[in-house]
Amino acid sequence: MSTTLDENVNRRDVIHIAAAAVVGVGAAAFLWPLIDQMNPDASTLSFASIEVDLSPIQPGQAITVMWRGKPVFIRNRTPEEIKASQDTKLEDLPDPIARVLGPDWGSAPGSDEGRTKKGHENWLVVIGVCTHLGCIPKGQKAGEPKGEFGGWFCTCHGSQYDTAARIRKGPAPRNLDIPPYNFMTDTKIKIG
Amino acid sequence: MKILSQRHIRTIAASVTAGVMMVAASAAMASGSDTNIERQSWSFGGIFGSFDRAQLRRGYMVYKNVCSSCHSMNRVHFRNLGEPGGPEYTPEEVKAFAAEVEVTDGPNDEGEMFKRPGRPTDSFPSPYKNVKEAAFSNNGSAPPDLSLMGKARGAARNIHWYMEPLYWIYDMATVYQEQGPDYIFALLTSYKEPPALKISKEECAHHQGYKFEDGVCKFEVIEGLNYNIAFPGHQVAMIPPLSDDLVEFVEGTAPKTKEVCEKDPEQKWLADENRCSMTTAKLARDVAAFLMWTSEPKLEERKSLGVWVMGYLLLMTVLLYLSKRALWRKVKH
Amino acid sequence: MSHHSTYQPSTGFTRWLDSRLPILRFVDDTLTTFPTPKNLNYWWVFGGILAVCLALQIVTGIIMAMHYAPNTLVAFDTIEKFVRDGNFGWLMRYMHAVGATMFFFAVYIHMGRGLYYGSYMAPREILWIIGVLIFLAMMATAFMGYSLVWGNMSLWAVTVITNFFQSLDTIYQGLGTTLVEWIRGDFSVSNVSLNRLYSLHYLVPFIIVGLVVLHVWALHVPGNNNPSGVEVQNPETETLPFHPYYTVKDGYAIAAFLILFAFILFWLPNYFSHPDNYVTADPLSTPAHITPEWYFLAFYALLKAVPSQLGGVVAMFASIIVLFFVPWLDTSPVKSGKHRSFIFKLAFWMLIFSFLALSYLGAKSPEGWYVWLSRVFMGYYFAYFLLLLPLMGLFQKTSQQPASIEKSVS
Repeated sequence: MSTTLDENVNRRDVIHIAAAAVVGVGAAAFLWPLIDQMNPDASTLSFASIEVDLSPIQPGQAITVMWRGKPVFIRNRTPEEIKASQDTKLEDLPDPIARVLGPDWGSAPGSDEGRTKKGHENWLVVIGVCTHLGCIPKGQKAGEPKGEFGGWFCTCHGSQYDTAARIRKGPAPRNLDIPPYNFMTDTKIKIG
Repeated sequence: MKILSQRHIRTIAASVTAGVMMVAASAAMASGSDTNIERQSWSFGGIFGSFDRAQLRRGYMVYKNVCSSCHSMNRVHFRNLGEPGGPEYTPEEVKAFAAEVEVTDGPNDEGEMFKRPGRPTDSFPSPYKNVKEAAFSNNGSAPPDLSLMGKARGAARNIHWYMEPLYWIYDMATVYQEQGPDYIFALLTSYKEPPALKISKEECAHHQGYKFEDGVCKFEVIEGLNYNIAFPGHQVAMIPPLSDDLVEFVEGTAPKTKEVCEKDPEQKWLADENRCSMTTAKLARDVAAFLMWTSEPKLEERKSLGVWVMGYLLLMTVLLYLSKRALWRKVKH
Repeated sequence: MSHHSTYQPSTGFTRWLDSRLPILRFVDDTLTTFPTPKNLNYWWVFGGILAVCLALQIVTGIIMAMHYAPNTLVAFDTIEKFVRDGNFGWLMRYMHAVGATMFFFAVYIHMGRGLYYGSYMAPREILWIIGVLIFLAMMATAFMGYSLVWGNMSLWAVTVITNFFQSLDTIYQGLGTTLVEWIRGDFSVSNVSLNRLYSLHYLVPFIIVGLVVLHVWALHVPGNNNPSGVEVQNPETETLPFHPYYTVKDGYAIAAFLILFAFILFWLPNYFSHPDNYVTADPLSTPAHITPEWYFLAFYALLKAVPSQLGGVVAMFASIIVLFFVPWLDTSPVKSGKHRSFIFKLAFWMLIFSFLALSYLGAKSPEGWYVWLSRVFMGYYFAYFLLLLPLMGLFQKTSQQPASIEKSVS
C-alpha cells in the first residue's frame, strides 16, 4: 500500500522538480550577462597593450607613457647608471625581489638583470607609482631630483629609488613594479 | 426553372456593388508613400541569419575606396574589423588598414596637435574636420555619418491602408529587420533619368514640378540635386557614387572563369581583360551588407544566443505547463 | 481576502525572526496561503507578468545607468559604446527597450481585463484608482526613457510634448511660456532638460514600486475578483492557496510571455522603434513624421483629432482622467462582462477596437479622413465611459449572474 503511495508521490513530484530545476538553471544562466556587463569592455581591453617606439629616446633620457591608466617610466640608462645598478649587492636592498608583474612577482631576485631584458640592459621600464602611498616619483625630466641613488625621488614622503628603480631609502616597502613587456624590434616594445 | 431568385439577384448585386465601391475607394485612398523599397534577400536575414564574410570585406572595400571620401564612420574602430561577427580580418591586416590612414593626435609637449599613422584602437577617420566643413564642401548638405545607417533608415511601402496590418504580421513572421540595407541598396541603384511625360503643354501645366521643354513634359530637378526613385522626394544631394567596375576584387578573391563569375547575375566577365568585374548593383549590395554590420556588429551573437534562449524557454514553458496541469487536475475550475 | 495568518515558524531561527520582523509571515500570508478564487482564467495572469516586467526594467535600467551619461554631447555615444563594446551591452539595451514595449502590451491587457470583468467595482475602487496612477507613472517613465537616447526622435518628442503647455497661454497670457520654460529649464529642449529627464526617469520607477505595493495591498483586502463577478462566499470550497496553484500557473504564463519577449528581443529588436532615433538629435532638423512609440499612438491620435492645441491636450488628458471615475460611471449591479448583456459585450469590444483604431490613426498625418475617423473613435471612447456605462447598467438584470463561484464551475 505505502509503496504505491510513494510511487504516486514520486511520479507526481518529478514534473514539479523538473520544472523547478529548469527554472533555476535558467535564472542562474540569466545572471551571467548581468554580472559580465560590469567587466572591462572591448574598448578598454583594446588599450590593454600599447606599443612604444624607443628610437627618439637618447641615453640618459626618459619618457613617460600611460598604460592602463598608470604612468610607465621608460629610461635609456647610461653605462654609468647600468654599472651602478649591477654593482649593488642584493643583501643591501630593502626589497631584493624583482617585482615583475606576473606569476613570479613575489619571488624572482631583484638583481639588475632580473629587472631588465637580456640584450637590452640599457632600457628600464617601470610603473611610475611609488609603492608607499601611490604618488608619482620625480626624476623623469632633466632638472628633477633623482635622489642619492640616481634613480627617482618621491617628494611625498622621501622614498628614493636607484637606477633600476629599486627602493633604497625611505618609507616605500617595495621596488617599483615592472610591467609585462617585450621587445618587438630593437627599438619598439609592447607593454601589456 | 428559376436558377436565381429575386433574393439571390439582389444579394449578388449588392455584393458586386460593394466590391466595386471598395476597389474604387481604395484606389482613391491608395498608397502609404509614392516609393516602394523592394525587400532584398540577405544572408543575415531570418532566424538563423549570419554575415557573409567575403561580402563584408568587399563592402568595406567599397566604403574605403568610394564612400569614405565624403562620409565619416566614427563609431567604427579599426579593431572592429578583426573582431568576431564581422569581416574578421587578421590582426596584421587590421594593423595595416589602420596604418594606411593619418590620425590627428595631441597636443604634444609643445602644445601642438600632430599627425601620426593610425592604430587599431583608432576610429575610422572623418573626411572633414566638422559638420560645417562637410556641408560647405557639399553644396550645403553634409554627408551623414554611416556608422548606424543600416538602422537609421526605413523601407517605405506603397500599399493600400488595409494592407498595412497584414504587412505588420508578415514582417513580424519573417523577422524583417533589414529595412536599412534594403533602402541603401535601392538608393544606390535608383538613380534614373527624371521622368518625361509625352503630353501636351496644356496638360503639363497641371503636373506640379514638371516643365514643358523640348516637346516633352519633363520633371524639373532642382539645381545641384539628382533624381533618385528611392529617395523620399526623389531629389537627393548625393551624386551617383557607384558605377560598374568602380571597385575591383581584392587580389586573389575574384572568380577566375566566366562561368563562375556570371553565376552571380550582378557580376560581369570582361573578356578583353580576362577578369570578373562587379556591377553597380553588386557594389551596392555589398556595401549595404557592410553598413548593416557597422550598425549591428553583434547581429550574429544576438541571433545565435536567441536560438539557445528560445529553446530553453520552450522547454521551460512545456515543463511549467505540465506542472500546472498536474497540480490543477483534481480541482474543479 | 484578508484571512487569518496561518504561518507557523518551524525552526528556532524563524521563531526568533517572526517575533522581531514578521517578514516571512508576511510572505506566507500574501504569496503562499493567500486564498485565491479557484476559477481565475488566463486573463488573470498579467498581474504576475507585470511584476516581472517591472523587475526586469529596473534591473536592466540600473545596468544601463552604469554606462550612460546624461549630457547631450555624449548621451547617444555612451549608449552606442555600451552596445558595441560592452559585454552583452546589446542584450541589456534591447532588453530594456523591448521590455518597455512588453510592459505596455501586458498593462493594456491587464486594464482590459479589469474593464471587462468589472474589477473596478466596489469594493475594489481604490485598487483600480491606484492602477490608473501606476499607468500614468508608466507613461511618464517610458516617455522620459525614450528621450534619454537623445536621438532625433527623442529630442523632437520632448519638444512636442513640452510644447503642450504652451497652449495655456490662451487661458492666461504668459502662463504657458513660463511653465514650458520651467519644465525645460531653458528656452528650448537642451542639455538642461536632458539632465532632469534622467533624474526623474531613475526616480519614477521606484514610485511605481511603491504604488504596486499599495496596489497589491488594496487587492488583498477584498481579495481577487473572478470571471463570474460573484464574490467569494465560502473560502474553503471556492478558493485555493496562491502557492502552489497560482505561483505555478503564473509561472507558466510568465514563461509563455517570455517566449514572445525573446522572439522580439532576439529577432525584431528594432521593430517597435523608429529609424529616426538612430540619428543623433539635431535641433535644426525635424523628422519627417514625428511619432511616439506605439503604446502612445492612441493618445497621440486624440491630440491631433481636436483642431485646437489646447483642446487636443485636454482631450488627451481627459481620456485618462475619465478612467479614474469608471467605478462610479458604471451603474451595473452585475460585475462581470461574462454575465452582462450582449449590448455590453458589443460596446466593450467596440471600445477595444476604437483604441486599436486610434493607435493606427495616431501614426498618420492629421489630414483628410484620418482626422475624421479619429474624431469618430474619440467620440466613441468618451461615449463608452460617459454615456454607455451609466446607461447600460440601468437596464442590467442580476438574474443572468450565477449564485456563486461554486455554481459557476459545476
